[in-house]
Amino acid sequence: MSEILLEVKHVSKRYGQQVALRDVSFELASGKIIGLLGPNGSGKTTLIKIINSLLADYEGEVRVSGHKPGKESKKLVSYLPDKMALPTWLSVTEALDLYNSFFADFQLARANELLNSLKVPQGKRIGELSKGMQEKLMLTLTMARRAKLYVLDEPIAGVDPAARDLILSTILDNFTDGSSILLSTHIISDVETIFDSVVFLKEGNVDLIGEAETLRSEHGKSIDQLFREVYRC
Amino acid sequence: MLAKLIKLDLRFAYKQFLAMAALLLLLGIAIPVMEVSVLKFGVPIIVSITFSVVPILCVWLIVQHFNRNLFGNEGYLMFSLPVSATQLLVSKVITTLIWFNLMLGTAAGLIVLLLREEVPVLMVLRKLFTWGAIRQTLNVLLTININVLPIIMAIFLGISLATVAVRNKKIGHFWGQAATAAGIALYIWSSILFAGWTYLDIALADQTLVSVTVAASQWINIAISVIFCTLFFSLTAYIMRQRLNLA
Repeated sequence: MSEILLEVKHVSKRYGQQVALRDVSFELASGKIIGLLGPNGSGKTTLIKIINSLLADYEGEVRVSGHKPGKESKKLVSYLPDKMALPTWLSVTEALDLYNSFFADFQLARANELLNSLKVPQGKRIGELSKGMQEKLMLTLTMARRAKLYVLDEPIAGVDPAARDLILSTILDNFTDGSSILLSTHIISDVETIFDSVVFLKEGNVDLIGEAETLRSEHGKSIDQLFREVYRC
Repeated sequence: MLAKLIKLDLRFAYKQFLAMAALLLLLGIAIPVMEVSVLKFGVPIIVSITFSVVPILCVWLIVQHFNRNLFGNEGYLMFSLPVSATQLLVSKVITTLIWFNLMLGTAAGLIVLLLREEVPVLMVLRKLFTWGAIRQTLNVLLTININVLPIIMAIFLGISLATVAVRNKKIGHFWGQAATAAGIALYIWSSILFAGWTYLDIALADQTLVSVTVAASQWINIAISVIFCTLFFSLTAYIMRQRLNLA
């Protein structure tokens, strides 16, 4: 029986009067890829921030391999934020050194290989790289860890379809056996085949949840078609 | 991990602080060469101005760095590292003290450079490297650091309140600034009330005496500083642990 890596139980979050998440619950087993799907503002990033200890003030319970979000859970989770978190004056090599010195599971040789395959120039400062190259660098740093859980916030948003394929293949080729991926996106068509299960978030609520294959057969539709149906304006 | 964090923190801000220090020293070299001599203002005024302007610049840099590094985009990296919020804060306090003392040293260097026509730099250095001068310098440094630390902690508390704990920016800034101002005022008031004030005369190389206001009882002053540092640190750490809300 596979280990439960991520448990999200009755998680709610408010920003003043605005509800960002309402009673969200799901589990993620090891070796699985779960899609966190929803349009902008549906609560995906809020949930990801909670899992990564960037948001502490919430109701409910989150456990990563039994640990509350914090110092221990951060050793297990490799997080790709939806924004450039590295200082732009840092060189690519310095960014690798930074990850290498803080994360015991970071594999420098693997990171160098990835950078070469993604054609990210190592001598340059991050600020000198194009936006696409910066995203590839962040992806490299995230995927070069031997983490138990990869949490990827909108890794394919704002990139062209060719780059999308490259990013997806990088993710799939580099995630460790037995580890899991939580991937948030609002672009479904290109990624739906990789998901073992999906969570549809709508205005902070879980609108639909289940194994991708079961949902497809039950509804007779692809996940992309279901998404369009759930989020039809 | 704390050592790594301090190293990382120093790397994050060294350019701004070193640039500021270099700029101040360049001013120290350039100003006396200009036609209008600064000496006409008198030594105590120059010292007072320098020790007023430099802390303001220093505080500005510290606020910028703390805010951007923890609660700006860089916060996504810092809070994802496998360290506790307390370690992040301790690292910030230690590096801020390092930067503060660097700027303090720069301010002293600036004064020496500004007054070099009246008091030669070599003479100052000769006087400085005596046992008595070293002891006096360390005493002054300790006194300044003891009194500055609660102020730095009050600033950190204010920034944390303003940017993280209260999501509404306007309300947050109001509470942040109010907490900082109230914290500093309360600390100074407690110091005056319990430790009292006296004057410490610092003899410059030309025997000019500069009086610095210090606490009459250093031990009580240390105790008050420790109490306020603990209070401000605990509140800031609580906000970072329990109320963190990165935008």
